[in-house]
Amino acid sequence: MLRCLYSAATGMQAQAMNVDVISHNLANVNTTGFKKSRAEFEDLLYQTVREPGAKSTINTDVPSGIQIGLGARPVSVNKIYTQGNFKETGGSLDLVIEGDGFFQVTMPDGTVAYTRAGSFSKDSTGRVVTSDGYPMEPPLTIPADATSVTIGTDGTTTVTSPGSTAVTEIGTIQLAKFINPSGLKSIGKNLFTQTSASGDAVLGTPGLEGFGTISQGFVEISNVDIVEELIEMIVAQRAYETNSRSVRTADEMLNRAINLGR
Amino acid sequence: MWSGYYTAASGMVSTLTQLDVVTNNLANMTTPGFKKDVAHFQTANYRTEPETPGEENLFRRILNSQSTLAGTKTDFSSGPMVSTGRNLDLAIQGEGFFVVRTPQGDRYTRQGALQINEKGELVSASGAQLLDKNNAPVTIPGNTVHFTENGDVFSDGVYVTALKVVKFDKPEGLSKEGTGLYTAAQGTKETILETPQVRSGTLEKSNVSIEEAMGDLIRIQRTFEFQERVMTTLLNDVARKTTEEVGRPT
Repeated sequence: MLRCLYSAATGMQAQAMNVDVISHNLANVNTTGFKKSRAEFEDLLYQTVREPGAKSTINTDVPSGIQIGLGARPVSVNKIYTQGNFKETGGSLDLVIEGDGFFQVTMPDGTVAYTRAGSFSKDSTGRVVTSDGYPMEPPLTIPADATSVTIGTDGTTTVTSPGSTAVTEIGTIQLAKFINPSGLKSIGKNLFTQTSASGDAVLGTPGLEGFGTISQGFVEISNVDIVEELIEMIVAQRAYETNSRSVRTADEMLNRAINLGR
Repeated sequence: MWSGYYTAASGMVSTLTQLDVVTNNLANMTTPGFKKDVAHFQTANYRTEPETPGEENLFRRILNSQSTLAGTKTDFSSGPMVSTGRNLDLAIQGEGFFVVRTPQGDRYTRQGALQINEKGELVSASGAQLLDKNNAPVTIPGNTVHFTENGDVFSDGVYVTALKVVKFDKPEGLSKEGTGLYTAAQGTKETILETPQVRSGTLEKSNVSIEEAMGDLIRIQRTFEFQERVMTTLLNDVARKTTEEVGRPT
């Protein structure tokens, strides 16, 4: 009899989580390289009172059974890896990937993490590092006397030295790609790590084998679309309200049933 | 006792069941591919007054009829299609179901928010393997995956296989198992669609409409109150008056 109260509660929990995910997206509307998430739901178990196709007599079947569902639950939060907009910064170490791929960075514990946020800087030793100081993998070191750094669309990095017109190649940026990027795990700081669901990283040269190309002097801004998120927010809020309305309806009906005959 | 008492009571039980069904629909308002259920009721157990021989009754008196739940029917009408920009989101335009393999056997679903597992297989959000036309799980050999509008799967530009999309002659023979999956009752015939209409980068939203569901909630509540009123009248007025007043010496 009280099934509906619990079903409505699962609906409310699902919507609350939906709002959590939307709020996180909105909070990161200006985060470089941020990829929005989407909460995914599925229906819970069904209580089958009568199977469809059961025999009503020896010659006839019941055309439709009786099944009462018990609500909804979140099943996954998928990252959506669509391209964000580009913002021109002019910074020589501000890089965007046009297309698929992630930059690789070495974490303090030696493992490799992946990011789309290409606003790199130099540290005291000239290494190219993220805003948090994690060095790019494979490491790229810019000589202290370099006057300019040029990064080509295929990741080839060249520098010019004072008093010389010749350019010197100092390395190549390598990108990583995953068959199921939605399976990557976010660890904050714009970084992702690989999981068994994402599959192993496939490394490659920008511009080849389906990898995106690199553009220097831009950053990729968040792919969160405010209008879309606000609409999702309205849907989630209304869905929450409707579910709470179910609770109230059930409560009022039960109240009447309890007070029968008074 | 009064047969109307039992009639009203059965009505109240039915109305509560109806609330269960509507509440589940509402809880799944944002579940992709969800199809709403509709409860329908029937009257049962008529007892008719015996006709007096020689007299023709114009109206037959029907007593003690009860309301019982006859069944829940799933409304398989399409939900709105929403573009997501994620190429592993698949929606079937029009009729049809994807076939997935679970440890309990093959199941049907319209929920197309797919993932690729660590073996490179296409799986549903809850991890069940998606099947191709040869009833085998779909393994993606390359680094990219792309779907055509007819459900052909390409990886790195090379054809891999075609997804199995089936339709049923009697969709009412499908029963819900939860997690977006359906099982087919015995004797339900499936037909493989040769050219299914599959949309990549799109999800089918739930077909629950908030207006209809709110209307249902109000109707259910008022129906219940009305039935409760009938019951109270029987208990308080009819029953009490009969026991307290009938036969009282005046």
